[in-house]
Amino acid sequence: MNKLLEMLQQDFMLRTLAGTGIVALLCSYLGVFIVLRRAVFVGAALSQVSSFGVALALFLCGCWGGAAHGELPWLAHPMALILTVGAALLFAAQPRERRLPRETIIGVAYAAAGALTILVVAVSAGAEAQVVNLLFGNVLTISDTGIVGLGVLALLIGGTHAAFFKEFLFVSFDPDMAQALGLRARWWNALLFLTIGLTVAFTIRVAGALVVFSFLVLPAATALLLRGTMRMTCVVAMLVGVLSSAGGIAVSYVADLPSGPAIVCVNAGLLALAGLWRAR
Amino acid sequence: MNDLIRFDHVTLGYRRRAVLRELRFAIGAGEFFGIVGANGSGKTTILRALLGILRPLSGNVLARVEPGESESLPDGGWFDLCASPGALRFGYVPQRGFLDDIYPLRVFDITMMGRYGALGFLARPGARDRQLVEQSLAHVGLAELAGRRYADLSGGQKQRVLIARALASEARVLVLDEPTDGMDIEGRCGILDLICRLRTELGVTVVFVTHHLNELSNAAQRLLLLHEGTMQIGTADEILTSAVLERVYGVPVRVEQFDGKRVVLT
Repeated sequence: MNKLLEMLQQDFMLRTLAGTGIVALLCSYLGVFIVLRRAVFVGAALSQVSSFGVALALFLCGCWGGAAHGELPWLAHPMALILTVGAALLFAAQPRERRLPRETIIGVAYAAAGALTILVVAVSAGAEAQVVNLLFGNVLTISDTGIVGLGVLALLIGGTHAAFFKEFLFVSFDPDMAQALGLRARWWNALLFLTIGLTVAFTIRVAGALVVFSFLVLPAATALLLRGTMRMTCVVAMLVGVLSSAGGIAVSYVADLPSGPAIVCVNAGLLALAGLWRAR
Repeated sequence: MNDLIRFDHVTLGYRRRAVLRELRFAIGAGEFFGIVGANGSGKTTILRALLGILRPLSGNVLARVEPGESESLPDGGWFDLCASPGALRFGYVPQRGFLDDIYPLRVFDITMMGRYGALGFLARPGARDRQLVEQSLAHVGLAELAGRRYADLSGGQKQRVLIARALASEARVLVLDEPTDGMDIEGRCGILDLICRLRTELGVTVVFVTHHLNELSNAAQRLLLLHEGTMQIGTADEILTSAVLERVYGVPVRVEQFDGKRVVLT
């Protein structure tokens, strides 16, 4: 208990709690759509594409001599953002209009981005540490500016979804009927996946690929096991996400463990509890 | 009967590959129109073009609005369905297997989706929308199940929810894609009776897609028969004859009457 009180008196831990809390809220909410659309590997593929963007920026800046050793070049974030959003829009296209199903395209993107990241890192001096940092994240190093940035992102994504929740739900559940009633399903799908792509591109810088992926899948799965209404499922997923992030950080602080994996384990523990409750 | 929808020299396909060529037929206002064909014969392709989801490779799918029905479209004039999505209100009833049971949606939520086309982007459903949803559920006999989860319903009840959703959109045309597929005899009869009743009571046009000829042999006024790239269209009396069916399917077919009902035997 003393350790927990001590944690709450540390500025950097409060920033960590706030930062991961926002990441948890956003990803857990969007995860409901991802899980319902049976596209959970969208999160993994977007994380991989984002990592490739950073690796590519490191390589290009290394060629141009644009970044000091050990620092992320200015190009890293824009490159990761552009590639991630581009991939999200590719995943958004309607499956019937394509030769390959969505799952296959997501798998191809995941494998190709992963392989390209390794190859590009192999030929870029000093890039390995940066990309590893991105993959696993370091929630303890978030700055005040980072939290403000996440807050702005949360307002943007939250506002978009508050305004267009019914459209996103309709085109996810039954795009043909949505289109028959005059909704441009393709555009609404693109906007939904754009919000997912933006969220992954920004949050992965704070929490790392593993934590972001876990937030995109586990809280939604937990909430769905509790069998509420659609809105209740979204709210419960967000609560589970925030609880997992706070619980994971507390466990990592008290037991001196890495915070990212601790968050994922608490997330998985809550899912297991929900599964047991459902099975009783 | 005035024509409501017209396929005008329409060729349909995907990625410039034609699946159905030179379709020319009309669907009358208030008509029960059946589309019958085996899997892969192009039924769903026609249906997607009808709903304005699939743009024809050539030709036009045209529709007509009643005087005063639309502010932006000319009264009584023909307009391109693809160019004006939603201008003619379709109530689409997909195959229930296409919809994923994983969604935590109640019967009321799904029926309310029928109102989303009429609501603005930022608008929330109001009292009139809720009233229409309740009326639609009452029409299909599910008023008491409004709060039930869709995933927990039987196949027949799910189909009724999707029909209620189509009614909630104040549809002029009900488009049903194999609504009785996978149902037992009781379920099939129940759905078919419901659709016939709704057509009579509400005056909606019905486009019913199926691969069971007998399903529509006594309900449809006109039939479009699709078989291996060929198309036959006419009234039920014209189409449901041994001569026509043997020519289309290439197997011996008998059409008999039992208790005043027509039955196709092979």
